[in-house]
Amino acid sequence: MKNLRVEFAKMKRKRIGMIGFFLLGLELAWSTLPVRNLLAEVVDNADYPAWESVVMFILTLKALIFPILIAVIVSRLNDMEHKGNTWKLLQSMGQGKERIWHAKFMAAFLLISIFQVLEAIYVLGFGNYLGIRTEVPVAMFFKYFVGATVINMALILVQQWLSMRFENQVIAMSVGMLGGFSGIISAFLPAFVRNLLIWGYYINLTPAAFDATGVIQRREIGIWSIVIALIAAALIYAVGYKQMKETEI
Amino acid sequence: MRRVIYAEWLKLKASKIWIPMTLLPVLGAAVGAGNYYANRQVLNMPEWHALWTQVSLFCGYFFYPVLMAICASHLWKMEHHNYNWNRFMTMPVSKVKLLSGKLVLLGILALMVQVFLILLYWLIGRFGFGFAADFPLAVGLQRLFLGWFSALAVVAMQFYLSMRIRSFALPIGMSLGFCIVGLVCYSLGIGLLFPNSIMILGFNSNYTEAISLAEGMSIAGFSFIYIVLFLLLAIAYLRKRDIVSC
Repeated sequence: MKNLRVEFAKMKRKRIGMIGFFLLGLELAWSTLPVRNLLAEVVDNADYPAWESVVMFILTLKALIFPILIAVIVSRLNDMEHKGNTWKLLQSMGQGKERIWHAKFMAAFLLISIFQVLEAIYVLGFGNYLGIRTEVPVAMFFKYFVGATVINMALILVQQWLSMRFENQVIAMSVGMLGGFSGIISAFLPAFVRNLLIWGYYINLTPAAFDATGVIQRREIGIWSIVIALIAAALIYAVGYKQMKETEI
Repeated sequence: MRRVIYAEWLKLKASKIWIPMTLLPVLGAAVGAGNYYANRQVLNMPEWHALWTQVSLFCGYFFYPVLMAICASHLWKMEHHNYNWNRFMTMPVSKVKLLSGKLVLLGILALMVQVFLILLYWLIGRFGFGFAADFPLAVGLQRLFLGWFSALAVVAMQFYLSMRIRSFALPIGMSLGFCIVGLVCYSLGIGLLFPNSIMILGFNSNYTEAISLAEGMSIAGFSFIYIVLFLLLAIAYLRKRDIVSC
């Protein structure tokens, strides 16, 4: 807990929150425009997948923006230790690298989760603002929220491993960039290719999709994407923790 | 000046910057090629033009600006580390030359990426899809040079931001946001007012005809204004502010 508090103290004046709000704001604004136009005439239709459409558009843009947002935040958290050459200093104060691994993960996860919660609140608020007549499909919303949180967690761990392991942040940022782009591109890829890329799992969570005639249809969210992301997160966490514990600084 | 550029070039030796410089254009071109293949029946235009609209679409909108942000951050990273600002500020070379040297090198990197992208475009068209028509050389050269020059507005903006912001990652994250702002400006018809939308105009992804001379001049002109503006801002910053080294 103390380590976590220290991590948040280190974030002061680092403008981490600013970049988060900036990118989240753009994601929500960008997804708002097409949804508003699309749903303007069908919000009264109880059969139309209106809530699903809102979540679909937001998740599609999330696949581009969140991997990069996560890469930026995690890189910022780790780069300060590389820059200040503070690993030895921290270890001499009883903070082994494995403890920092845990604390930095928790700090990044909490921060990203704040943006995740804000996004979910926006979905609900925006749906109500549009005047969608149907009730929020609770199961769909729950899967979207939990699934996105788990995928965030897996991506944070991938980025954290890269940012801690390699002093040169070009590598971590390049992976974040490629991840973001492959995330949005995976919307156009066959499912079996998308399933190989963890960044494309946001697209797997979309509760609706365009059919061949260009009409939005409901679809079932496969829970297995969430399970795979959770297993991947647990594995990366364990490998990273072990590696950091054994690393000689 | 040549020595300044050479010194900056030396700083890039053994760096990992070639990884994104290679991978991002390859990914952009591959996606464009896939998109072209999927939509070739509905793209009613000459095949080389149709391929360019797809290849340059993702690159001009997202890949290229973000790649330039990575290059700019990487170039300034050296100065933000190990008290190098002290050395930078006390070098017996004028600030104008130092900053211009860095910016010119970034411009060279941008040109390398643009040449690589055009090469990929040609390879995909000629050997990937086996286009029978000759490569439109004049339009290709226009896409090469106007695309590159319009990208310099983004390069200059990222150059300035990366100089001011000590973080490596923050300007890159901001560049993604600017891509979206650029798209909005472009769709509102005020593309010449923002660096990223100037780049979209210069890449000419949405039109099959070559850009007219007057349009090309206005794109290049606005790009030039941004280059000069950000260079002047950088010079003014170094002249007036007390640079804290760390």
